[in-house]
Amino acid sequence: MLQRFIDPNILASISSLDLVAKTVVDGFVAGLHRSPTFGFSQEFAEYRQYVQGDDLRHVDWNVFARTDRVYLKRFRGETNSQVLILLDTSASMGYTSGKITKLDYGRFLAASLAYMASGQRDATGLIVFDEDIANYVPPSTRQGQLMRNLHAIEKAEAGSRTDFSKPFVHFQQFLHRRGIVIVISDFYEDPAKICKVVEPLRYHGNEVVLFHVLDPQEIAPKFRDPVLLLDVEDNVAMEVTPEYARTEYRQKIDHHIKGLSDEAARAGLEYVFMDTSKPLDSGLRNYLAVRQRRR
Amino acid sequence: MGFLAPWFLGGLAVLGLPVYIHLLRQYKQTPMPFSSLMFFERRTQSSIKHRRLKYLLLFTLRCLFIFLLVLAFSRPFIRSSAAASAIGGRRVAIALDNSFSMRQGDRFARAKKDALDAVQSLGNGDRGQVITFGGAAKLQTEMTGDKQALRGAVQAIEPGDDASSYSELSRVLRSVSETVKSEITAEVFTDLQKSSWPASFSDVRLDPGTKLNIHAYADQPIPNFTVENVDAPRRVFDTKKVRTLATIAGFNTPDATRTVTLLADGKTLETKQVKVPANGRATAEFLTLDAPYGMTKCEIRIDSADAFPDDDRWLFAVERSDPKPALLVHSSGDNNSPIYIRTALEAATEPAFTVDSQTPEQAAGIPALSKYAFVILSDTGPLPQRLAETVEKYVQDGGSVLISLGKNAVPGGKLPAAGIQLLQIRTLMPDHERALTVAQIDNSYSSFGGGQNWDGVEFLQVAKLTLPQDASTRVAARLSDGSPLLIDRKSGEGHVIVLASALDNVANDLPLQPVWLPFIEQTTHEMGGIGAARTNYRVGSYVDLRTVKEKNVPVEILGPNGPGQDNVRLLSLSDSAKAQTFQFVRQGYFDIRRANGREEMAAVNPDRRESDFTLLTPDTVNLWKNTGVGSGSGTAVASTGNTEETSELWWWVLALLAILAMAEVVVGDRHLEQVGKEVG
Repeated sequence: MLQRFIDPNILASISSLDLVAKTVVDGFVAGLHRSPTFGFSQEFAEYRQYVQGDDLRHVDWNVFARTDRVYLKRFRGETNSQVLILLDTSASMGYTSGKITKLDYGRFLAASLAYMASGQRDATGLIVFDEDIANYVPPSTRQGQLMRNLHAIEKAEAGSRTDFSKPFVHFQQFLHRRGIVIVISDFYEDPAKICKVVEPLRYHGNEVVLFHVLDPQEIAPKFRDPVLLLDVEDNVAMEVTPEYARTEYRQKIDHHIKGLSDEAARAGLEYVFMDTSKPLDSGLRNYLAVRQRRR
Repeated sequence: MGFLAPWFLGGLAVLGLPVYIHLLRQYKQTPMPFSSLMFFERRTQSSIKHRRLKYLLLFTLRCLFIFLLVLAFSRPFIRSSAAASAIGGRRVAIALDNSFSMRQGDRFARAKKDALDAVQSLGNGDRGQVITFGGAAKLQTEMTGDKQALRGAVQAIEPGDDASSYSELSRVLRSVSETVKSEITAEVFTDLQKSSWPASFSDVRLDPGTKLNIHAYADQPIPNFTVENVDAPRRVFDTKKVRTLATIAGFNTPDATRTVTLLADGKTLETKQVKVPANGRATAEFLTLDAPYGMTKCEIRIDSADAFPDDDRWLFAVERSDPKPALLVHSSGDNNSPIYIRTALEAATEPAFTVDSQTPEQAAGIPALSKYAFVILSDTGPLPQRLAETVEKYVQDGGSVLISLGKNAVPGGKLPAAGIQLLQIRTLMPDHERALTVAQIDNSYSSFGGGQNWDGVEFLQVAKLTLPQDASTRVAARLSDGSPLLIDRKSGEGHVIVLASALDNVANDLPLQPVWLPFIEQTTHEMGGIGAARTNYRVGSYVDLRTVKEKNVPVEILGPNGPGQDNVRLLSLSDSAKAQTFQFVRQGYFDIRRANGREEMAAVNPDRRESDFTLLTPDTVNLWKNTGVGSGSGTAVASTGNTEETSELWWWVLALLAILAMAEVVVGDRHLEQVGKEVG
């Protein structure tokens, strides 16, 4: 069936992050023609007749009221899972070759994920970091948690350099319960080093998902003339020829993406590559579909 | 090599533009922010070198383009005496006078022979051009080194009938000098007539570098008698009442008696003797002209007693026809107007009409008025219905009617065929009021030609009219109170002329005034279709063949086209349908059939200035020669002995520029294609 995805540029024109998240999530969920209660923790599994000794908290009293029979509502996986979203706001995330920066794209992604998790009553938290932790919203299921998360996402601005090691050490102290850790970044670091830093989270039983966000110009640069490029993080300028960008750079960035994907797989991390020129809901939908199948 | 506009070379500073675009601009780059240079390597030098090499061709083309553009504006030229001699040493204009006066004796034959000798004397590198200046100066050849062509052109020249003009010759020599841009030698073969000299000396100015060699074929003025002019009527209605005046002139002649003969169609009609004073004029008058009906070729001839018999005759053409009847309708009590009108018409220089006077009642019995040349309704009052209808039809079919209004006119009524309403008849009391006079006259109107004096004419009774406000109505004269006096109104194919007063000596004193005769004559001639077309022309003059409305209607002219060639069709088929005018270049009789179907005969005579063989003084000739002596200026360079040729190169530069522009487009396009592929 034809699925109409939303252009990131259109999302960028929506001022309310809440609305962006709702637009993205409701859009692709509606397109799946499946139950909205899947993906993270509270996934419905089956009904089972009550037997003595069962926890009465799982009895579906609605069914009992209608049928006068006692059934238990069974869910797959854990209930009240914790979702922690880590959003990279380093200076490189502020880059764009079009209208929407990688940070904007990451914000939309984070907001959409928070919206989804909140809809499933998961405890959702947020950590905004660059070389240090810029903001932290502890995971919670309290009322208004979604808005707190969205507010923090809204305030996220491109900062300075990226240093995964420092903030990730801190993350571990915030993770008291098992849950899902989602890292949204452009991952300009050696894949081995990234995985080495992130891998410990996995040891705590967390499920770690890496969202690798890149601009199309970073994936396949197109320069007509030799250009003088300025690194936004360390202000180093370098003249680059179109020939190099067309050949060697592409090889290197492809190698980097593949390396990160391989390293992540090796470390048991989930890796999702996202191009800021592609519709966000499309990428998200594909990811969730794959995840569902894997389960 | 030099530049005619060297200040444009300052434009070479623009060469800095491609230098900036291709070289300087490469090194000045605006840093482009990028997320991370983690995967980039520094390879600057090789890149820039590669780029510079790649654009070198485009850079060179652009530099050359600007350079040549500046060069073209600076108008480069080369001046080379060697080049000049290689192209041709001398530029010689061979100008032969073939005017009417050159027919005298063997002048033209000698001049032609000398001109052929001048062609023969041209050197191998010399170039020549043949010019004639009998009438308008004409280039017979281009400037060429082909002696055969030059000789042929000279041999083809025949003596003409037109008058020579040294100002025309000088104008053409100036034009030749500007064209060849070098010194020219003008070999002029002429009889040095004083009458060919213009009024202003500046008209014969020659360009510097023009050397004038005059070969004169007269060393002293020769005495010459000629028929200078003939004044004869164009139409003859009564052969006994024709007055022909011939003016006989003598140039440089002593007292003499000349025999003047009037001929019609080659037959001698009358001969007279006139005494011509020394270097003066005399008039011979002939009072009859017994010409047959139709067009007659007439001629005034004097006995040939001088060295130039060609101008001893004057051609003229007359047309004989019977007077046409004209209808005068007047009231039975009106005896004055028929007398005045008939007397005026009979007294006319060309009594072309006979008057048929009738009362309205009598005229009503005439079934059709088409046989009348025109109709005059002289204060008739209301016309019988039948006559009014006949007049209406007559006008609609192209007839002309003159209506005069007097005491019989009825206020409130409409004038027949004119559609003009009569308001009232105003009668002035001479003892109490001043008579009305003519305050305004349209001199372009046909009735008022020849400067008529209407000052003394007084009007005591005039009609007040209401005129239709349209283009068909024309007020030709107004009275001192502003009211219209003479109105011309076009109706159908004809005209109605309304005189707001009567044609008698009661309502006004017009019939008693001198202006009465020319007014009636010119008005009736116009009404009767006898226009003022000319029959006598001078060689070199033009005749109009058609009006704007007569497009594509064929016209025809038969006439002489050389010795022994009379009555030759002078217009080609296309000229016959298109030509607006025709120029008479020969003397003789010409039959003209106009686009409107009328056939006329035109007699054409040479300009009689050619009969005056008074010579230019040597001082004048020397002054004329000196106008061409002097140092060269501009591109025409005159120097003694050594001729330098100046050739401008801007044309070649422009051609090269066009090629470069195309090359730049091709190279630039290929470059863009390559970039497109790289980007894609």
